[in-house]
Amino acid sequence: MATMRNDRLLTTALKQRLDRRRLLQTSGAAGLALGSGVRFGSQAGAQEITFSRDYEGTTLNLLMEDLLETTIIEEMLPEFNELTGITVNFEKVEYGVMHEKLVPQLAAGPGNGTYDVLEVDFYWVYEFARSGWVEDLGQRIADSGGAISLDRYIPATLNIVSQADGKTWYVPFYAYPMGLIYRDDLLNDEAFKVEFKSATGMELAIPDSVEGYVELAKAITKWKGEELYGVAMTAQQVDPIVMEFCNFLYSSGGDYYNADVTAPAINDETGVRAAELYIDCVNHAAQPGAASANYNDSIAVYSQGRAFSSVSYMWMLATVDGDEEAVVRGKNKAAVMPGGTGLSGAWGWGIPVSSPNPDAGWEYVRWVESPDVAGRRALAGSLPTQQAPYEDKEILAKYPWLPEAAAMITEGKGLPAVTKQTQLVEIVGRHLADAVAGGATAQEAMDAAAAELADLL
Amino acid sequence: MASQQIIGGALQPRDLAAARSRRRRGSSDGAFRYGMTLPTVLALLLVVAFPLAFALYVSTHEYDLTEGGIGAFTGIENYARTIGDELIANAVRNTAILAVSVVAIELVIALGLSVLLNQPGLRFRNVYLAILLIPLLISPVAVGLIWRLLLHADLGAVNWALGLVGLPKQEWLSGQATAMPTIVGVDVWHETSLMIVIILAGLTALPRDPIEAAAVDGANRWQAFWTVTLPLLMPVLLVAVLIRMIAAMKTYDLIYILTRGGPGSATETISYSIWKNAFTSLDMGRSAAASFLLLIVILALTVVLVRVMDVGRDS
Repeated sequence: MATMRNDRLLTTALKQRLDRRRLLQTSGAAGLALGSGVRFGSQAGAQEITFSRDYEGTTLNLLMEDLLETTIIEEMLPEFNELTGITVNFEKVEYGVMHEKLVPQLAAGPGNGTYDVLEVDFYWVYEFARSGWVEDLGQRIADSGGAISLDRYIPATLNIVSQADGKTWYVPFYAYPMGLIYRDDLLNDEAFKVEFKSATGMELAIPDSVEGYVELAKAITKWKGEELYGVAMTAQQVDPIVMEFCNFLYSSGGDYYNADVTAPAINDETGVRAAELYIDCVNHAAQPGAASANYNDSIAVYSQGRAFSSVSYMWMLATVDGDEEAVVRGKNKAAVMPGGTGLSGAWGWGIPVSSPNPDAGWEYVRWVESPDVAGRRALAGSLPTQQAPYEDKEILAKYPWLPEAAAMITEGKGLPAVTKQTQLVEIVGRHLADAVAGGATAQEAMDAAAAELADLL
Repeated sequence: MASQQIIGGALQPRDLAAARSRRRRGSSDGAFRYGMTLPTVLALLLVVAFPLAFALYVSTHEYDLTEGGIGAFTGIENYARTIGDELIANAVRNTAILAVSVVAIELVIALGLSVLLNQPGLRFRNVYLAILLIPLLISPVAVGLIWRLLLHADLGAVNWALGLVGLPKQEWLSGQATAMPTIVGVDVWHETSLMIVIILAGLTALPRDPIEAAAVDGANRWQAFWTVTLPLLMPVLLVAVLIRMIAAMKTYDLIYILTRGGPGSATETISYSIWKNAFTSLDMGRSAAASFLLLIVILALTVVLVRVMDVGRDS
């Protein structure tokens, strides 16, 4: 199994450092130029994209999640400044506070906000669009001179984070699909497999159903106890537990609402079964404290070699394999969630109506999503939403798990198309956490969630 | 004429002139005083009164952030919906349990420690006091993060210590039965120092004579404490209780860091619920109404506090 990160690019994703020399080399290949207009070739090779210096001297402010993808772009911002004369400030924060920082700014009215460009999570898409807080980007994309073309993107990402109600509101930025991360070294260790079969009567193999996966995880935990848990889980209320549960729900064939989103379906037989399996997994297969564990907690358990698997984001795989101190570094693989459908999340770029500098902000989006910059970001470790990086030999050589990631993106699902998806996550998370703690049965929890989800329609 | 004398003790012209002069000086002094306080008053109006007035206005209207601006006037409907909301009722119960628990426990511990620290001739008193005050110096967010690590079910020091003596690991923050007691415990660790500061100051300021007189009359230390010291200290204790009660009712940060109101809504307090309504449901009308209801309760407690302090000052 090849390492997930080039050591010259990233010594540890958790420390979020990049080799500046490497980035400057790749930037140099693109060609920095000064002057009133800049031309450089896209990865596709044929189209030249120009950037304007009409907004020279403008400072753009963006609220960004503090993680690797942000650091990658931050290292490239001097290039953007050279091209356009625009300065970009990133206000980097932890995910949990992003929504509450953004909402008052977005509601401030045209031109009165603080942020010029938005980094939008996939479950704010409908809320921001239907509230009239973001611009319809259709015309801007058409006039972008080839810098932005929706044809370049994986179609699934357009559904997840770009388009809503027939319009295009955001340009896809990076993807974060969820799937199964597992210990490939143990899966291919014949002695381990024999011992496992002897102890449990089961074959050690990646199952093809949620039921099978939960049984496998429980069996490993029962067999190996504190030494090796079947799964490292992240069931903290509110966002982590719901994101994790989505994989169990979707792979079981369930959903939050019916097909035309007119009535809740989470408390139907499939939804309740998915909740039962999830609760069983947290309480009998996962590490102690999983019910209040966040991503740092579950990554720590997995990195220490104390879990066989984790239902998590692809960036967790990159994090573990990029961490020199991880016991399991280089021993992992990824697969689509057993059952076939995981959660597919993504971030996108939007222009808020409240932006003080919308046109300059759009210039930034044109640059950061131009094929060349997107390709270089992918080379540095950002999971791309554009298709070309998944076919690039250099990128594939560095990140051989990209085809699995592409499959997760394509076969995954986002959240239902209701306006208040944030509230949906809160409702489901609250009731599911209650059930995990034994305060309600799965049926009671899903019935209670369904009653509140009906109010969101 | 100015120098004309009026017989019979009536005001002299020069007295009238002096009185007019005093009035002029008084009115210019008053204008000066008002002028000096005007910036503060304006700042308070801007920073306190205007937001309160706007929030009151919002609380009587429909205002969902996803539906554009402030909508129709709804009167007390937001208040009625808040009072009838089961989640809010649960939050009120949790808040009451939390506030009463932490205040009661902190009072007992702080009183005991203060009495010990107030012993005459106690060596290293200042060292003990400094150590006891350390938690107070740490911000609530940092306290939450520290205890989240200590209470980690798998990697935390608390469960490790339990394991050393053969006790099973506990899911401190995610168990139905353990989450709220854990929050109470963390709050007690953090805020007992504040009670110590208040109570110790009160003990130090008590007159010695009644206590010495009780000793002369044959009272032992416990009797002197129970019959003399404690009654004298009562106003201070009431102040400490009220101050902590008001703060405890507004607990938000510990809940956010440690449990996010969970499991389920087992530790969701009223402040956390208001925040959740505002930034998750985006229903500003209801959030403003809930905020005002909380404000009314806190104002009532504050009025009691001010009266107790006035009584204490007068006596």
